[in-house]
Amino acid sequence: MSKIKVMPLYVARGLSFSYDRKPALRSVSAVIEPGRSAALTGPNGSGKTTFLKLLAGLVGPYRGSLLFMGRELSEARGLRGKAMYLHQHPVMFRGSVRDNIAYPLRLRRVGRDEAAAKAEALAAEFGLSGLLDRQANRLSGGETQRVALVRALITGAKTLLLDEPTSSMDAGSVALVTEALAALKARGLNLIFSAHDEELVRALADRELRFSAGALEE
Amino acid sequence: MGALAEAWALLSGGDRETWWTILNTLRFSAWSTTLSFLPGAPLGAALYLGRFRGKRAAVSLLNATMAVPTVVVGLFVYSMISRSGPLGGLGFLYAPGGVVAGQSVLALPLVAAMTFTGLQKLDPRYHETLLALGAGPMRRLAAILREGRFVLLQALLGAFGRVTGEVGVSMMLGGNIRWYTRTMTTTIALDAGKGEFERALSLGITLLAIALLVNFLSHLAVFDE
Repeated sequence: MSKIKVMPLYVARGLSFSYDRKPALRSVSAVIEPGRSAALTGPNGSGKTTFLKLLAGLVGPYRGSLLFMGRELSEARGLRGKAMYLHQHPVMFRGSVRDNIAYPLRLRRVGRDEAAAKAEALAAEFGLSGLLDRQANRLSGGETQRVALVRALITGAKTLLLDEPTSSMDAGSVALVTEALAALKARGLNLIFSAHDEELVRALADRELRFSAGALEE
Repeated sequence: MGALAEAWALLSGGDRETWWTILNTLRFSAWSTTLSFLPGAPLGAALYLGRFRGKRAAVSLLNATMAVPTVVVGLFVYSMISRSGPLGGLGFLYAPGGVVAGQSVLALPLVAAMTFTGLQKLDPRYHETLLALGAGPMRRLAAILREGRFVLLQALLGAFGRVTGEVGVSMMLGGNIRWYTRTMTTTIALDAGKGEFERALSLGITLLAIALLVNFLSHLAVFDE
């Protein structure tokens, strides 16, 4: 019986990257399959964030090879609609939560009313309707993270690259964000996240990639 | 003290030539600030947003152009707008157009460099978030300029201060013609040379007041942010 071969989400081979000649990632090789969430762990400065930013196409150029859905990432046009990076402390733009969630749609030339309606519908799914009229830059850490998640999802992205999604949050916020991420995982989204929080790793990760001094220990 | 009192009398008494010179200087400065700002700010922002080989060299070159003496800028623009130059047909030499053109060229690298340097102080996550959300280059440029509007205001004020206080370009390209191209700085240079300090002092006081006001507004822009 023949097996159906699933194309890996990401394939890194000998991936290296430096910030101003200071090496941040050294010859990392890994395969990340779709549908299996991966946790990047390791001490601060070990290369987790750099790896995530490379997967998101936010930094470059890199040495080695990095394939996204079978195509070299540096040549993969339209990647940003498919894989979305979220900062440890996400940035909110000026305006309301509704404006922020609708923003990616406005970038894609969706009309104001239609974008607002879609933002409201998605916010409701994640229990954020009560925040829609609040100023986005006045939210708590947990609220900001959840709004940023919804803002990323409205783009239709199927892969989320999350940098320490629950860091510096109180226990209540951690629980809410973890719950939201678990719901996304259940919907089949690919989650790749860095974390120090072992609870979060246990709750969400199907595999762990451990970084140390810019290299992968796995 | 006598000269100072007479200088004050020229200002407070509404001396026609003194006030014409002040207003003419401000008119030239407003034009050249605008003409340097319109290309300079997007240029600085594009340099901030761009990821390309040779970016460091481009930034170094930009910083180096800020240090070019005003007379060298004047000489360059002179060669362009003199009768035998490529833009000689415009008739800018020894005319207001020449002063404005020279001052604009002088301020352009300053605006670009101040915009670039100021934007570098913005939170880098802002640009990364725009990139991640799929904003194209023009959208990112617009969003970054909106977010960094205090940087733009500082660049605008910096350019205004620079052109208002310069003398080399105005002298070389305007010719310091009375009731036509004369500015505060060229008048000060002329009157001080003749030993007539009253008007030079009155204009010096005005220049000082403008410099203080520009500095105050510039700091206010940062403080407000």
